[in-house]
Amino acid sequence: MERVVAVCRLLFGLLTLAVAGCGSGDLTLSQADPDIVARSPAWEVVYPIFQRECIPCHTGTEDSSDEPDEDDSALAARSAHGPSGLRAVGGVEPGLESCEAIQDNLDDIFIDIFVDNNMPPGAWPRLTSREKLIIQRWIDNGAEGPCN
Amino acid sequence: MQLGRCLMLVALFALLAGEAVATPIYAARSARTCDNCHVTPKEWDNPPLAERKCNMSCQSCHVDPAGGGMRNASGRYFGRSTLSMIATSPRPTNDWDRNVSFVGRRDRATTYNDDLPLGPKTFEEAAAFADAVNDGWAWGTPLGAPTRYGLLAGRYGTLNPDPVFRVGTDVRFAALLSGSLAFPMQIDIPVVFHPVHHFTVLANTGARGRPSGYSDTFDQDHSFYLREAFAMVHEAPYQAYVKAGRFVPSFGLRLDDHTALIRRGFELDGALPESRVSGVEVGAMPNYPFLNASWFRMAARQRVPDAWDITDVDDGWGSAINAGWRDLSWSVGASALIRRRPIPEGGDTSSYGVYGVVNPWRRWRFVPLTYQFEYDYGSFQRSSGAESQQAALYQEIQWVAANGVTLLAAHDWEDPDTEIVDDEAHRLQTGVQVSPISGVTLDGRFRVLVPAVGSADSDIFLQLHLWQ
Ligand code: HEC
Repeated sequence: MERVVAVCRLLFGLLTLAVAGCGSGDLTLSQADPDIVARSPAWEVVYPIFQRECIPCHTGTEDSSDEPDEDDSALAARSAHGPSGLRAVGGVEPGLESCEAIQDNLDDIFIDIFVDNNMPPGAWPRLTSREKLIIQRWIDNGAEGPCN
Repeated sequence: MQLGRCLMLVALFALLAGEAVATPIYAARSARTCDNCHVTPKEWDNPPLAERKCNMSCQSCHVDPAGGGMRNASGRYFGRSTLSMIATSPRPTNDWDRNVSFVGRRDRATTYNDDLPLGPKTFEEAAAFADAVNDGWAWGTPLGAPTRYGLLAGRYGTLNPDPVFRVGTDVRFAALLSGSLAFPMQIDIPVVFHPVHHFTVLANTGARGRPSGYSDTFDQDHSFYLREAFAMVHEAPYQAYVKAGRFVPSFGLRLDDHTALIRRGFELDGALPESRVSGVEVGAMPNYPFLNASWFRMAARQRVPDAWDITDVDDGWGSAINAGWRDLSWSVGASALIRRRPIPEGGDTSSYGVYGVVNPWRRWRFVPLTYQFEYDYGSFQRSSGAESQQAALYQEIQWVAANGVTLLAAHDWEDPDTEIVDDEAHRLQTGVQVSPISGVTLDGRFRVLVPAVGSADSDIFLQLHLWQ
């Protein structure tokens, strides 16, 4: 038994070291790799991220009569199967399924993604650094889309 | 977040529930007693090493020697005798007094006296047990002379040890409560065809269901797809095998939890079609040591391969090796996986992992505890072409409180890009797994994610898993 305990201790020690030793770097993605995403990402790159990571829960638009326009549905079809595997069925407010809806909620979206880092919620993985950088640069450049 | 908005949502995390795999922790636990995987003969003669089928590697319980998915007779026996509250194959003697009190010694499968069913002692004796097979879930006997390297009649009670044809089912209904309610669902239908000894074809079709019904499932191109599809030559000395087709490369622990952070960044999330590769895998498990090695091609990182055409791959190639030693109360393993492909297809990756399991329960009968961990590290290319590193860790501890009732706690951590400051996350979970009867498992977990920036958040993940 002592041997087993000793092995457990050793493993725990090694793991703690590994986790502490390989801890994160000190650069933001924008500093480490400025060209990894476009300086001014286009809506066509931004919308699939919402489609994949947010719209599965935030379906529709706040005004349910506001149907998504054709461009949006084409994009939606292309990115319906995202790496996260999320897929829309029901809806949480605010609905984010159109350019207008995203524009209307941009302040809240910014806070949730960049300040609170709490969406997608619960223990579901948050957006990747690259996804965040795309959205951040898109907002910095005036958050342009087909509706504005 | 406003709790008032809870329960207003029915959304789907279509792939969250994951495919049908058992867990290496079962293997680690199984060596504490022989009669949890098979009926014991009165006296035991260990066969020569080349003929040993019984070890702590995946092929002992699964049709796929690299683990996961459909179980063979030994895996089914383990599920019936050991995993559940009510035994439907004889309960291992060591566990007779571990039944939950309202079940007591009332199951019909176990005699609870010296009059235990006996199995064959040798390959030669097994022929006499062939008539005792009575199995509604596995049919036929393959053509050709019986093989010493296949499972033996009588050793798994009435279960068919080596059927020609088997259809399984594996269904998961789940509820995820995280300020909202989601109902992921998953169906797997594995089919195994074993017409002659030494040759098997396996096809596992996965369907991701939706709470709003099947019309939704059919809407999406990849709702049904071949998760695994391979032909295999096996039942050879030292449990050696060769398989060719679509599979997930063998790397590290093959976990049941597809949301595990050690799997996502390394493109090994067993629930995703994107994790599938097409190639050839060879391996052998001469009792304690084990080795699986593969060479494969795959679709570009972000491209979902065709659901049915297993030759749908892009230009890149990859190779994986997974080897180690699985002893009676501990195991260690190491894995390496490389992918070489153009940047637009996802770029090059080189991933390395170490893992291990300790099972003090084997020595200490009153400490039903098992611990497993995996640590992975590797390089990858960002979409810009710049190289960076990633790391991830998983550790889990399980306590089998009674037959069919397991408490667990797990911690995982990922640093998807070691150069970047704000992308790490820890995840903690604690929960209970209850299996009233073989084929039914309820799993409830409380999970907390602690990201590097922002606040921690929690959810509750409940799963009903039906398997046969
Ligand atoms: C698992 C489902 C789910 C996903 C995925 C999800 N959300 Fe949410 N979101 C919710 C729920 C539930 C609420 C309501 C929470 C509350 O107000 O208590 C919410 C609220 C919000 C709000 C309202 C402001 C607030 O914080 O109350 C915003 C804005 C938001 N989410 C943005 C996003 C964005 C952006 C994404 C994608 C990056 C996203 N959500 C992904 C479930 C989800």
